[in-house]
Parts: sequence; structure tokens; C-alpha cells
Amino acid sequence: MSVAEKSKSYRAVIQECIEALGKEHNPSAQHQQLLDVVTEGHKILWFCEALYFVDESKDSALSLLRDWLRVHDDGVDQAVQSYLDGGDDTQFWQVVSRLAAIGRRDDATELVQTRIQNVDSRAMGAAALGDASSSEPIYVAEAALLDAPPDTAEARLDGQFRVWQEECIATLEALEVKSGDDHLGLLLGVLGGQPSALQKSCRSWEELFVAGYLYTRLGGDPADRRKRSFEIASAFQPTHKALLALADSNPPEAIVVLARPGEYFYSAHLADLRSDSVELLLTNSFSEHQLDLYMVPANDQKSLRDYFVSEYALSLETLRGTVQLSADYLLSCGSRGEEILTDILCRMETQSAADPAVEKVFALSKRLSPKHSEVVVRKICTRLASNCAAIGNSAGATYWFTRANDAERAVAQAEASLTSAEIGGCHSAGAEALDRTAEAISVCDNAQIQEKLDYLRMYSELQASLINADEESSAARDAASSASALLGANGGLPEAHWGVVVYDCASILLPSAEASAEAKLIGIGKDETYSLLKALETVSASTGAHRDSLLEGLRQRNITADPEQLLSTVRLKLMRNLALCILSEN
Amino acid sequence: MDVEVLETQHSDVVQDISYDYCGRRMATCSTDRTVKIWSSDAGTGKWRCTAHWQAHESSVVRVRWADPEYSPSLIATCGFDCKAILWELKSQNGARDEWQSTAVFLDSKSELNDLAFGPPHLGLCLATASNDGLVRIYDSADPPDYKVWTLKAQFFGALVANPPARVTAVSWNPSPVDSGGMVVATAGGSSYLWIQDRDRPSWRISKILAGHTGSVLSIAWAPNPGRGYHLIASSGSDGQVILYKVPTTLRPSQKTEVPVLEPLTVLEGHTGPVWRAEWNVSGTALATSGDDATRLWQSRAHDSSQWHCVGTVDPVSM
Repeated sequence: MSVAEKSKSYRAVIQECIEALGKEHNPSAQHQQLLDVVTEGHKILWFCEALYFVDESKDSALSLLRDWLRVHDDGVDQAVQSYLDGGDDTQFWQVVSRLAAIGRRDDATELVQTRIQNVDSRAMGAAALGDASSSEPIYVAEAALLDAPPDTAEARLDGQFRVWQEECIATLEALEVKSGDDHLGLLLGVLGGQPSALQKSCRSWEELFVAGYLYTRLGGDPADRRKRSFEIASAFQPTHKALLALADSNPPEAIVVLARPGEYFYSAHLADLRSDSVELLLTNSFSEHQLDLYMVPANDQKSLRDYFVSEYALSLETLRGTVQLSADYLLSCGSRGEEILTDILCRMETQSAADPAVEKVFALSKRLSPKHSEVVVRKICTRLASNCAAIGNSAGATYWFTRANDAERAVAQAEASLTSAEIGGCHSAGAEALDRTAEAISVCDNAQIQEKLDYLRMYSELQASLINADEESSAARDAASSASALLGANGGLPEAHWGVVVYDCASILLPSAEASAEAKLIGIGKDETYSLLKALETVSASTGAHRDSLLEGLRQRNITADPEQLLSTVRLKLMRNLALCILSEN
Repeated sequence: MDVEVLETQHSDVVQDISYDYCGRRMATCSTDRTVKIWSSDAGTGKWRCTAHWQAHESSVVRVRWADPEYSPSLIATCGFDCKAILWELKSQNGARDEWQSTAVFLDSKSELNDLAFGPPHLGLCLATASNDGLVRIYDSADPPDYKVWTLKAQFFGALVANPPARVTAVSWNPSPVDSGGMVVATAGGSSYLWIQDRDRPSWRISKILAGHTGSVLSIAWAPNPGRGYHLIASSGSDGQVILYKVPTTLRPSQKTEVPVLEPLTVLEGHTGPVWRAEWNVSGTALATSGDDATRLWQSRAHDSSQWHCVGTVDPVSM
């Protein structure tokens, strides 16, 4: 797609946007502001298209400009009609000057010639009455207008236009010496490209914009031309100054001038269009020593574009619901844009998993490079995990830390969940929470952490079995089996929890008073009993602070009982059970 | 720029204001010894005070939010009572939230001027700046609890110990690509750039940032989205705002031969002391606040040595 086609494509989209926005009934202030912005953007793009992206040698730029102005008409035709309906002398000259300024010299010439005919008629009559007033200014105006070279690019490029303008100025200077005729002086000033005359003649910045382009752009000393451009722009807002800088063949300056915090729309899109047209170098009207701060070397066009597009995207992001749009812009800005988008996504507020922003962020993060995507996912998941931890939701915290690939904190949360279940017992809320934690881990797509925390699942199964172990022998067997697996070499259960596991399993065995030859084996087989005894001996054999830590679980569970006594009781039960198992085998 | 005045109801000077990571909550602290937490309504954008408590026994001069990776609601405050305190949200009861202290840092015997949480990739750590000339760095040993902290490092921010220059401000290098770095501002007019060895936990001096003729009141290390260098801004009692361009690869220096980094540019405009300098999230706009006005600065897109003031907010008449 060529640059001109790209610009037209932009304008077509913006035009649709304008039409859609224009249908809104009772628009809000923000809505109206948005409409103003896109309308201004449309104007600027059209003007840029005319100035830079269309082949001037085919005169289409000039006609584009006139068409542009006709579309954004500010009452020129009404002014002409108002004069024709009975306007005075002053009105005549204002209308003629205005028509000339905006490039409608043919219409201006026609008006002048019509007036000449009327003046001639009256002059003949007045002469007959001996009251002939001078009509020189009107004839001077006609001559100046008729002497104008064709309004083509060729006439401008080969110097004809410049010569004609200089003649107009010379005539103006001569007239000022003689008569100081303001009306004719205004017209001659316009034709000669005087900024003050152009300002007086135009009624809107659009007209002044076109006038500046038509009459001040080509030829002359660049510094003088620049000075004239800024004289014209002195009374206008930055947007208009920037547009006149465009007319002054200084697009980078326009882009920079248009850049204001929160209002990067113009800069972003102008820079985007320019970056694709690197061949459109600044005209050779500026010599090297005249380059100043506003000049951007051709090889920096891309960075200029990326800078403003990313700043625009940042300002856009502050509006609600535009993060997708911001992302599109930023992803077109290379590494810089990706860094900024990563930061934006990380800062999106995500309170809980139910927040729809979470999935939106994850979806957008997939458009980033793997490195940045990982950063976003980790950040959001860690934040969600911290939120869960803050409200005591260990299952949620474990899940999200696992998804964040933060093994250390996931294990810490899992440990906290396990400790809570251990202290409370199989019927406690802690056990239910542990069950949820185990389930959360199982659905995480993180095999490494799942393997690390698999003991949580087994512990949860143990607790579930213990609930019915007193009444169901199958539940008792399942409990014993889970315990044995947990306490085995590959069980993974930290030693700190062995004491309580052994105690819980031993609790399902019959009390000693019922241990008779006919006593049933309550589902703890020989091997499982042996595993429990081994774990019990490991706890019993520990000393010092290590022993205290291993017995802490028992203390928490049985506040009044002496842990040592508990261990002894458990040992007796297990030994008896082991003996019964051996007897039953024999 | 549009200006909206928030009536904080603090009974004395508001010393600091800090947004949380997502920009939805704000903390203010004051000479009236209190801290207030504000929450923004998502629909209307109006701010509402959700908590208010006395935090220190003297002026509270700084408040900072921890990264939500560690806790969604954890702030640190410091003040002229020589303490730095961590506060965590404990409960939310409709209109009023309850915050509780989780840790108090009492190592300094002089007033604290500034504190800053380290960037999240360095873990949960906190640096404090004190009038005794020392920078202290604390590390949280137990992230889920925030009660247990250890003093990991302390050093004289201005290198000189006798007499030590008061450390007025501290700012971490936010870039996750580089190893730990920090810039420390002092009352002596210079700032000092310290870096942390990758292999050892010690901090070593790298550069001296010169340029101010008075006390440096604020210093800020800019976020770096893709630039090939770092930017640091400092503001001082001399009314100057100075920008420094720092290479991304920093080397430690010998204490006797620390290279001096000259300013990249001086932002002219303030007519009195400039109390605070802060960067936006992309490191492309700088806000400075002085007695005369608050100003917003931006650079020319293609030339970081050229900055211009793009907006001014005059003090609100009381």
C-alpha cells in the first residue's frame, strides 16, 4: 500500500468514526471531545495527503487543497452572496481578498470584473454629469488578478508565481506611497503573500492554512519564509502552528509542536505516515547550517514515530476500555512498545480470579514475546496469590503461586494449609481447605510443582479416609494405605508432620481393653503398621530442637496431653496391631 | 492542565503522597503524625478516605507502597521520630479499613528522611535514608509474614563518615535487567550512585553525581522502557532540576577515585527549592514540585538532552 493509499485508508476509517460518533444523541463531554479530536485528525491527514503524498506535478495537490477547504467551508459563499445582495465597498474588497486568499482567484476576478462593469456604467453617467470619481484601484486589482500565472504546480516551480508576487508587492509599495489605499492594499498583500494581509483576509484557521500554503510556501529565503509562517501562526493554537509548520515544509517540527501530554493523536499519526515516506526528505530549502533542533535525520524517523505512537498509546490507555487499542499501537513500536505494554498489563487492577480483567490480561499477554508474556503472567498470578493469602484462602494462594511458577511461595502456602488441617483434624475446616488446595494444585499446569506438592493430595485423601475409618473397615484400610505412602521414601511429606499422621492412624485401632484373640484387625495391615512404626521410631529417636519441632504438631492437636505419653500410647497400639497381624497370618 | 483539589483534612503540612501500583489507592502522610489511605471509585474517579491513624510520634515524612507481588496492601512510613514502620491492611469494615503495624525499624538514632522499597526482582527489601548519614537496607526473611526483617547492609551514603553528610533521599534502579543499583542524595549537594555486586551482597560506590549547589531534596531513577541508558533526576534547594545520563553497565569504583558524572541538562524554570521529582511509568515525563509551582517536563523525542516544560500548576491559594 502506498503512503497516499495508507493515508486515504486512515481517513476513510476516521470518516466512518466521525459518522458513527455524529449519530449519538445527547453526547457527553468526553464523547464530544473525542469527536473533535477525530475531526481534527481527519483534517490534518487530508492536508498532509495533499501536501506530501500526492504528486504535485499533476496539480492534484492544489485541487485537493481547494476541495478540502470547500468541504470545511466557513461561509465564504454566504459572504459572497451577502455582498451581491447589497454589500458596500468595504464588503466588496473583503470578499475579493478572501476569495483570492483561499485560491479562488477566478471567482475573485469575476467579482472584480462585474464591479468594473457597474463602475464603468456609473462613471459614464457621472462623467456626463461632470462627477467622475477615480476607479483606479479596481483596475489595478483586475490587472493583478489577470496577470497571475496559471495556478499550477509548474508555474510555481519555474518561478513565474514568485515573479508575479513580487510585482504585486512592488505595486502595493508604490500605492502606499501614493494613496495608502487599504482595500486594494489588502488584496495586493494577499497576492504577494504578506502574512498580515493573509490574516486579515481569512476568517478561519483552515482558510489561513490554505492561504499560507498557496502564497508563502515556495521560493524566497527559507528563514524569511519560516518567519512569515510563524507570524501567521502567532495568533493561533498549537495545532494551527503545527499545521503551518507543515506548510513550511517542516513536518518534524509540526510533529514535535503537536505533542502535548495526553494529546499525542496528531503527532502519533503524522509521524506514522512520515516514517513510511522516508523518501520525502525535507526540501532543499534549508541548508545544512540552518538545521536546528526540530530537524530529524532520516534515520531517526522510525524512532520518532515509535516514540510518539507509544506515547499516544500510553495516553489512550488512561481512557477506560481502550487497552486493546493501546496494545495494538504499542505492539507496532518494537521493543520499546513491548516494554511499555508489559508494564501496562502488569498494572491492570486484578482483585480476584473472578475479575474479567484477569482473562483479558492473559489474552493480551499472549501477543507479547515469550519473555514479556512470562513477566506479565507471573506478576498477575503472584498478585492474585497475595490477595488470596491476605484473606486466608490458602487454596487460591497455592494455585496462583503455582501458576506464577513461584515454587517457594507455593510450597509455603501449601505448608500453611497442611498445618492448619493437621491441627484441626480430619473434621475441621482446615481439612476442607486442604482438600481445595490439593484440588487447586492438581489443575495447575505446572508438573514440577505438582510433583513437589503431591503429598498434599495424599494427605487430603488420608484425612478423607479418616473421617469414616471408625465405622468402615475399607476407609480404615484406605487411611492406612495413604499414611504408608506418605511416610515412605517417596512420599514427600515433611518429617514435621509424621507424628500426627501416625497418631491419627493409630487412633482408629481398637483400645487395649478390646484386644482379644477374637478382636478384628481394623484394616491396618502388617506392612502399613510396620511403616507407621518406622516413622514413629524416627520421631522418637530425634533429640533437642529437632524433636521439639517434630512433636509440635502433636502438641497443637492435643493441648493437654503430653506428647511423650501420646507417643508411648501410639507405640503400644501399633505393636499390638502388628502382633495381631502376624498371628492372623500364622 | 486540569486541577482538582482534594481536601485531605490533615491538620498540618502534607509531606508525601504515594499511589499504589495500580493507581487506584493513595496514601498521604503529614506533619500531624498521621497517615491516610484513599481509594478511588472506579466509576466516578472520586477519592474517599478509607483509613486514618496516627502512625508516628513526630512528623511522618514519607509513605511508600510495597509491590503487590508481596502483599496487596503493605505500606512503609518513616518520620522524624527516627522510626520506619511497616503497615498492613488487616480488615475491611465497610467505610473504614484497619491497618496494623507489622514491623518497626529502630536502627537509626537520627531522623529518617526517605525510604523506598526495592524493585520486586530483588525480593522484598526496603532502604531508608537517615540524618546520621547512613543508608540501611532491610531484607524480609519471611515474605508471607512481613514481621521478620534483617538489616542486610548499611553504608554512609556520601562515602565520608566524618562528618557524615545527611542522606536526604534514595531511589532504586527499577530495571530488572541490571544488578541492584541505587542512587543516594545528600545534603552536601552531590548524589552517589551505588551498585550491588551480583556475587556478593555488598554495595559499592560507582559514581558521584555533581551539579547542585545546595542540598539535594529529591532523587528519582527513571523507568527504562528500551532506552540504551538510564536517566536520573534530582532536585534541590538551589531551585535546580538536574538530569543525569547513566550508562546501563556500571562498574564499582575505588573509594578514592570515584568518577564524577556531570549533568546531562539542567531544567530551568523553578524559582525556589524544588522538593520533589518523580517520573511517569515510561520514564518519558518528569514532574517536579517546588514552592513556586508544579511543572511537567518532557524531552524532545529524538534528543534526551533537550527538555521543555509542557505544563505548570500554580500553587492553590489557601
